[in-house]
Amino acid sequence: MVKGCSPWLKALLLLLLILGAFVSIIPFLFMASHSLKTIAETITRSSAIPFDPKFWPRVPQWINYRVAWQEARFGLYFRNSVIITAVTIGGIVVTSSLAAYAFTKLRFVGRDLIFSILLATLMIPQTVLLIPNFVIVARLGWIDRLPALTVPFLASAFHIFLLRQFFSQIPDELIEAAKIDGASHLRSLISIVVPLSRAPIFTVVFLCFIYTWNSLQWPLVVTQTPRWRPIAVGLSVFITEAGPDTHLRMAGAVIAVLPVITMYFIAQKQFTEAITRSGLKE
Amino acid sequence: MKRQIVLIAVGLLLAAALCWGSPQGEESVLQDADPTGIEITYWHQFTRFQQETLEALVEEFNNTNQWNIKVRPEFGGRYDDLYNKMVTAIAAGSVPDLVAAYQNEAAAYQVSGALVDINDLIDDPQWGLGAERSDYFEGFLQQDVNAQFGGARLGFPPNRSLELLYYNLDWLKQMGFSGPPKNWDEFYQMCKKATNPAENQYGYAINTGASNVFAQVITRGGEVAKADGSGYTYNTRQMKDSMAFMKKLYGEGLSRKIAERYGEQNDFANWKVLFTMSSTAGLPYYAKSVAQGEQGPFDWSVAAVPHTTARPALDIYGASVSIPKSTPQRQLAAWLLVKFLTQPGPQAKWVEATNYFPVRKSTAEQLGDYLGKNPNYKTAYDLLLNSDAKAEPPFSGYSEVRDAVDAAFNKILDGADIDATLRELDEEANKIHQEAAP
Repeated sequence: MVKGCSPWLKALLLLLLILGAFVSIIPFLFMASHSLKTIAETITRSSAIPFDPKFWPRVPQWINYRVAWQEARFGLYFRNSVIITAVTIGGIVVTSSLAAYAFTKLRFVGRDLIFSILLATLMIPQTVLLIPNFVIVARLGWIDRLPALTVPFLASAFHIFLLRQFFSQIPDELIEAAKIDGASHLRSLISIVVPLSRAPIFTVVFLCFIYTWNSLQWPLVVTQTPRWRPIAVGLSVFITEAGPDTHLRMAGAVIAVLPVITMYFIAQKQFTEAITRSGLKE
Repeated sequence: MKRQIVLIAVGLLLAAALCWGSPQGEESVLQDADPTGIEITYWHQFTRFQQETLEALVEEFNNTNQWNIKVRPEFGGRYDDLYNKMVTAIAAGSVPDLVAAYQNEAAAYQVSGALVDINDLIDDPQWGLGAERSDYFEGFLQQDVNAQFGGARLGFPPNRSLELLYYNLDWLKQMGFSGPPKNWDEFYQMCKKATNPAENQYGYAINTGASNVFAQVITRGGEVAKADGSGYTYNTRQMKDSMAFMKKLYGEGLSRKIAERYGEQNDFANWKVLFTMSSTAGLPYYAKSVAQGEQGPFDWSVAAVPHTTARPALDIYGASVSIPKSTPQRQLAAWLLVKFLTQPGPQAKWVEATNYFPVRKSTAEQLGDYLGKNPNYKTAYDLLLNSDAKAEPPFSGYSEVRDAVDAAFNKILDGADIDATLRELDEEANKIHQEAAP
């Protein structure tokens, strides 16, 4: 809260924050409530206001989740998403930490130039990269295989940039002291820098998790069968051509988004701390 | 815009792709081909029950065709995803053997010369349609002939649907009308009588999409594109009349924009809106909504969009299947699957599962009592037989033009000057057309 403000101003700010939080949560409540309605209720009992009884189902239809799970083959897609996300996060954390350490704690010719070039790659839209990435992946024979879904994303300029901002705040004296004690750069990274950077690393993990978990276009391009397709593909099954099955679509959305929300609650403290300290927004 | 970027990227990479991918130059598409034992892939957009039906039909083909061709159907995502996947595949030289595509999407692929001209297959003395051709609805077949590419046939229709007027017959009768409107004046009167702000009731749910605009323009005898493929014609009298009519309807509170996707189906089922315009593919969804509506089931049906033309003019649409260039054997195998899927037997199964229209007239004989059990579908089918069916422009870049039409329609409804807005739209559409031209 703002220090030195009058109690009235504080109360007003608090009220605004509560209002903002309430407005933000309405879509999630809508998704959850409609996932538990009958198809008839999605047609006749629909409201955008949670205080309206029509917003809620009369009797929760938990069976919608079972139907959605089966129709969209969520079991397979869920497993695939977990594997793809875990591999990608592991790769991102390792490569981003190593690169960020090099860009902050090592001195070598062209360091700043290379970093500038790396940053410039952030300006290239993902859509433009789609074809070159696909050509490479296809020529490597990775189509419809796990490496196609993970390897292109094992390094990220944005995450390197994010970690570099934090690593640069760690005094060089700590690294120098470790060096005098015989520590290599890798030892310094693992024993000093990483433990001091838990919050930003959690942030990298969280952002990478959201991006990978929700990705749809790339997985569809590089897969041909359901074998390695992620959960977003399962969700797209409920986008129909000429009419809604709102209850099933919402149930599918809840299934797909639940891990993201869970992940956020686990990493909430570190994520907020990291964003606050860096002033970054994505 | 995203598609424009992708198209540009395709252009940049085309030369490289051709170096290692494209095998066939200007040779005949069949060349004494023998499809025996060929395995091919088919990228489609269908999900759930439609996917199950398609896979069952493909399995039937795999088990019964005399050449032992094996087809592997693969879900490639919904239309936009499938388009991106295909554009990427063209650049990499790893295309499927058959792909679902709207006509303008096929045109975009053909900018890179990626597709087979299906005229060569249709007319082939050994493998073509032969005498069966007259059994196909000619209007459906013509939809895939693209003037932008010298009359090349870039796709073949496995099914089609129509843009029709959905109406609440019980409500019309309560108001003293005997049936749906035949022209736009009657439509206006009915909307006016149905609108009751106190009960949150209104006449018509406006879909501002380009298909809806096209459907209105053709009912006034107009067109939105030149027949020779040289550009668009959005600044016409028929277009102005259509926009002026909708603006008036909207300004007087007799119609509302559709705020939520498919929300108009709920309003229709709950007696909130009297008319909607939608695809015949929506028939089962409307039936489901009406059966579950607030006031219980009621009598409703579909009719031709009101018109000033002598015969009803209806917008036909639906994705076709295109055959990417590969080898003569693979191209022939893909064509044989297409021929199988459009045989009356498989067509009847497809119709019953999806409610799409068949592309062959003789399918009706195979439908048994399906038409009797589905009177609204029969009404729509009869309309197909007794109307002038017209298709939207099949040009490359039409996807971006559609966005521009949608934006212009919204601007007009929100108060913009019709003449100025349509002049700008016409310029923008033709600019896009020039940029996307082969």
